[in-house]
Amino acid sequence: MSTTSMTDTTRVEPPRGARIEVSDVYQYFASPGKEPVLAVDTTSLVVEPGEFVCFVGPSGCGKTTVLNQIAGLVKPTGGTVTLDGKTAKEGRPDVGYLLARDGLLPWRTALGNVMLPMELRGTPRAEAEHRATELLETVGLGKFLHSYPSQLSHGMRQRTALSRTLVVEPTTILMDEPFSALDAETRLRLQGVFLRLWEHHRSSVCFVTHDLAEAIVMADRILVFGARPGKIIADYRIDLERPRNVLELQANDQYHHYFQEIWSVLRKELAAA
Amino acid sequence: MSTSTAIPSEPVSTPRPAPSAPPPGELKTKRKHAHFRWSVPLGWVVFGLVLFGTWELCAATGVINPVYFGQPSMIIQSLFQNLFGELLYVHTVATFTGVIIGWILASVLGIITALALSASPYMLKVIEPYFTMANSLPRVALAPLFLLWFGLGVEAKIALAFSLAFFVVFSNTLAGVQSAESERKLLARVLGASKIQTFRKFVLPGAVPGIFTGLELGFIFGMLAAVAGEMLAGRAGLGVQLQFYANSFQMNEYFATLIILVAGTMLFSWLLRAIRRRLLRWQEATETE
Ligand SMILES: Nc1ncnc2c1ncn2[C@@H]1O[C@H](COP(=O)(O)OP(=O)(O)O)[C@@H](O)[C@H]1O
Ligand SMILES: [Mg+2]
Repeated sequence: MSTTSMTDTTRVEPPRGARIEVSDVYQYFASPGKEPVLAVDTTSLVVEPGEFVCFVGPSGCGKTTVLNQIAGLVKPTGGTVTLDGKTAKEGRPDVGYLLARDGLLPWRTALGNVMLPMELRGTPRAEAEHRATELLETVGLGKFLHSYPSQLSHGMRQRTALSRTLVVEPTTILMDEPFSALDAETRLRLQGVFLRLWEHHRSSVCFVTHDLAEAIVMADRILVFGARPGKIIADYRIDLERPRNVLELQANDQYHHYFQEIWSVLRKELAAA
Repeated sequence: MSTSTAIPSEPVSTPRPAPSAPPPGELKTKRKHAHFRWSVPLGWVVFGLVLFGTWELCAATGVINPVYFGQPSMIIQSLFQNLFGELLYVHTVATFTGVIIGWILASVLGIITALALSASPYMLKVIEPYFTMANSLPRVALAPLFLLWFGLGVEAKIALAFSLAFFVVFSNTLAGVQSAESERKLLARVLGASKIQTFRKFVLPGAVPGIFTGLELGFIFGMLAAVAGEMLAGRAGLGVQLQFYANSFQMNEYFATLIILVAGTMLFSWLLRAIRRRLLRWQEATETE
């Protein structure tokens, strides 16, 4: 990469994301002593390279299950999931997964936690430390590199976990209600932090949330899941300009228009669940 | 200057110097019980003085019989008379050598066995009933057997200390390894960690606090078993001396021996805790928050 492109962050780079294809998957879970439960009914979806897709829907409708299928953590009972044509499998280095709970290792500092995925891959220590430090500084934790998770606030811990997910520059990012445990202000701040990083990297993102406002602010597309058994019932394109400013969007007319429209559908599903 | 009331007070936006900080020591520090800094040690001294003073007074006035109960001033005298003689160089060395060797063997084997078995849920299930049986056995009941097998020397002490310490270290290590949250293991899978990496980086560090608890308790239990064995029979050792002093009504010497036992065990625990503090800074961080 030439030095000019390093400084020129406004230049639109081609998306680095993977193409995620979920074809006709359904998922049964065994339940002891009872009939197997159909958690996800036959579902198909495609996430184009560099697309930001949010899953919304009532809880228990299979959003996490679909995410786990894409991560390769759960093998679908039927159907196929591919990333850039390759069948999904767990622990792929180009897939990042972030959960609502940060899962930080308490015996590692913020820096050590962010270095962890690189350590597992055998990245040279100096390089790992450099990249982790840089990213932590970007998310505003430059002063807390050597703090243990127990010394950090909730929001800081989730920023550390976010850095741990992004530091290896995955082409697919899966997030399961990553900001739902945070207070409203911290959540807005982290949405902004993540959007800024994503707009630069343009990975493909599947982002589960129960917060419709969050989905509209972040996504290119919103998939609405219907009440159990889970199934996609609506697909909205969000054509808000990027880069987006999370705070300013709260007062945007188009944003409110999207909210009304999607909420009228989502509300029925929430009531049915 | 009294007319100055007519002048409007300074606008709020006028920059003013920040209020000066109160003198050091006035602000409450975050340290827990910081205000106890002097009163607690003082309390220790007072409590000790009352306790031992009452004992001394009762023994001196004949309320209790010093032949059976000893007398603090005499105990201290006896301690200093015996401290640098046979009691320290022969018996204390004998007991602590046996316990420390037994404890080291128990620790090494206990940790290794627990880590190895934690990898195999099947083996763990197979071993479990036998383990429970062995652990339910009052180990001191093995003392006569061990004395028969290993004789009156250091070997019996090692065997006895080992038999108790091993299970303590084993079960605490196992509990520590199994305490790894499922969420942590999920993270390991998501990050593509190998089996060995999962164990080394996600499971083992979380087990260290449990291992240390096992080591500390293991030493105390090992000491218990060894001294009990010595009281039964033995060539040398503090337990041997206790039995001898009790039988010959040398209560002051008896208590002096107890003091050596307590001091040695406390010193060892303190050493272990110092190592633990160094290794487990991340836990310290939680506690001082
Ligand atoms: N491992 C599992 N075993 C059995 N049932 C499961 C399992 N995972 C999820 N389920 C069930 O599948 C349904 C969908 O769950 P989930 O995907 O977590 O929903 P959501 O994330 O939308 O709240 C729920 O009814 C849940 O109880
Ligand atoms: Mg979920």
